[in-house]
Amino acid sequence: MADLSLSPRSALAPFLHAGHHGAEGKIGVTLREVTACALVELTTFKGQKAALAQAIEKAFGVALPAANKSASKDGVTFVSVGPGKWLVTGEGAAEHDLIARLEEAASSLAAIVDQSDARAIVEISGHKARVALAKGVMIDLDPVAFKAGDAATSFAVQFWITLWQTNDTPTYRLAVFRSMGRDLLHWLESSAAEYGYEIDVSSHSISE
Amino acid sequence: MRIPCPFCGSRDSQEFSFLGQAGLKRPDPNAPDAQKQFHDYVHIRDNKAGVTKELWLHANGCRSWITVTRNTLTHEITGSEFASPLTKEAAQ
Ligand SMILES: [Zn+2]
Repeated sequence: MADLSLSPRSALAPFLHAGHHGAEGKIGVTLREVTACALVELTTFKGQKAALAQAIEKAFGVALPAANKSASKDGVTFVSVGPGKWLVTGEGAAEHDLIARLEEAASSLAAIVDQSDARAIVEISGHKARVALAKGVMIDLDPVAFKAGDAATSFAVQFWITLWQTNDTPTYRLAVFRSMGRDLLHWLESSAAEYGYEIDVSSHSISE
Repeated sequence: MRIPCPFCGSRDSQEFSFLGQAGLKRPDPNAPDAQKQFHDYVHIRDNKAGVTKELWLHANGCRSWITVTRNTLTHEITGSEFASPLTKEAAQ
């Protein structure tokens, strides 16, 4: 009998060319597709925001972040994307039980919509990541204005992005509609070329 | 031009799309003069020289509708607020 089991496929695997590219002899930027990551959009129901915040705190040990912020714990990250709206990512063990945990904690308080196969996420890190990103991102990425834990929904290279900074390296993550992932990657590569960049495919372990 | 979003803060106007005059009330389609009322609702605008209230959508941002107070003579923007009380409540 045919095997009909479905497995996740990377949005970008065919376009990722592992190794060093751009300016020779230096690596200012590292690019990586974030795979094995569950994605959920969480939208509070009318009048339930306080109750939702309480339920999430209890279930995940995280305070729902305010505007332009993200918050993480144990592989789960909440990124503020609008009034009463969060993009939630789950990695590691949380990749497999994120939706079930959210539904158990909050199905009467918020809309919980699986976006796992709807977005592509690219991680950009390195000492030139900030200047490479700043060529196309319209928000101020200077560490005075934007640092680890900060987030934004904005406009870059002609499309809508969700951007958040995860550490001081700095490392940023960008989520876009899946069909735009290739264009995002292409722009990031052009932008990073002058600093030298590396494409890391070590997380693409499953056959894609 | 920068537009202050009540949720996201000051952002480039490219992130927003413009709808038009704020505060229009959709007429009653069963009113005896409904056709004239709808004509005015769709087409007739104040076209004020000075301070106006306009609807903008933060389409490439938090996706909220906001009401922006703008002076059409100077382009000065003096304030903005969520267009819907529900959005305002969800933002708090
Ligand atoms: Zn906004």
